Amino acid sequence: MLEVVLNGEKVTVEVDTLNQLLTSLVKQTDKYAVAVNEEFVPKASYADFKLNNGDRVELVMPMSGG
Amino acid sequence: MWQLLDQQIESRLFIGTALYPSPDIMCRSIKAAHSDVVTVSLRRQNPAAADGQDFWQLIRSLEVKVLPNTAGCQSVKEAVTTAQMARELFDTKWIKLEVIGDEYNLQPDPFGLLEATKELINQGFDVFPYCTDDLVLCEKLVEAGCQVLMPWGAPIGTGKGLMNPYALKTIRERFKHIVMVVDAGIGAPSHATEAMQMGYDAVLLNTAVAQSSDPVTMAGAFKLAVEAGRLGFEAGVMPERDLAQPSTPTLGKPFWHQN
Repeated sequence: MLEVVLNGEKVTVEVDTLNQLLTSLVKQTDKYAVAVNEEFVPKASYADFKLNNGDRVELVMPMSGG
Repeated sequence: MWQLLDQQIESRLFIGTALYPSPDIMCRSIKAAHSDVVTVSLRRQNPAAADGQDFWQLIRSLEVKVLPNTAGCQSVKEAVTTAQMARELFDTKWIKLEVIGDEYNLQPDPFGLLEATKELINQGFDVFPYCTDDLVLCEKLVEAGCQVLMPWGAPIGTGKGLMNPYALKTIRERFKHIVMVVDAGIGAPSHATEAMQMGYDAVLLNTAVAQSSDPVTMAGAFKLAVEAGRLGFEAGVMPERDLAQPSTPTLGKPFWHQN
């Protein structure tokens, strides 16, 4: 069990990697990008990216903007 | 058509995608503006809500070039990471770089902006910096490798128009070979015309259209205003004079010297 901060909210998850966390949250076809502890994590690295207690995960999606 | 970095662009009106009364009005406004370039952002969202996915499908259906922004970023680190996420998310190396230095008037932080610009250019981005109209800052951004500058007309969302025409003219004259876009502060179509008459390559606006009483009609008005300003610039505006000069010939005027 890990406690991570996902988009500002503390959550407890049963995962080891970022890929496992994302699989439970988003669809394969969704457009999204991720940063962990303020560092961008490219898609190609999700499977190997080990999450640790307290990691701050930002999951962002397209939004309107000016 | 004109050249914007690696793209051939038809319109000189870039438009934002925020603050419209509805997604349908946003789409119709962008079409009425005939814009080829629209700005977008990226935000935390509940993945189950799928709002972001729906928004993205709408934007894709418009077949426009997207210019992602780093709106709201207040540090170099935040801006750089946001730009990196935007590049992957939107599959573009274009980034409208905002590093905000003052949260009340959303004034760009020139020091943070320059630092983030250098970092992102090193990483292969095409940086569109949202900057003030300060000549020295613009010089530094160009030295850093920017091929586009986006000075403000006025603070974001104020609709005040071009607060400092002298400074905007000065930097336009100085950086003849740089693509220059007036970004932010434009409220009325006449403001856009004024910027285009100065020789700016384009204007970027959002609130002026989205928050008008009739966004679709206002988008059309801005399209015409931008085209009028550009044509005026290309035709060459006459020099100003301090004294009146009659346009009707004086020679042959009846009653000449009778009094």
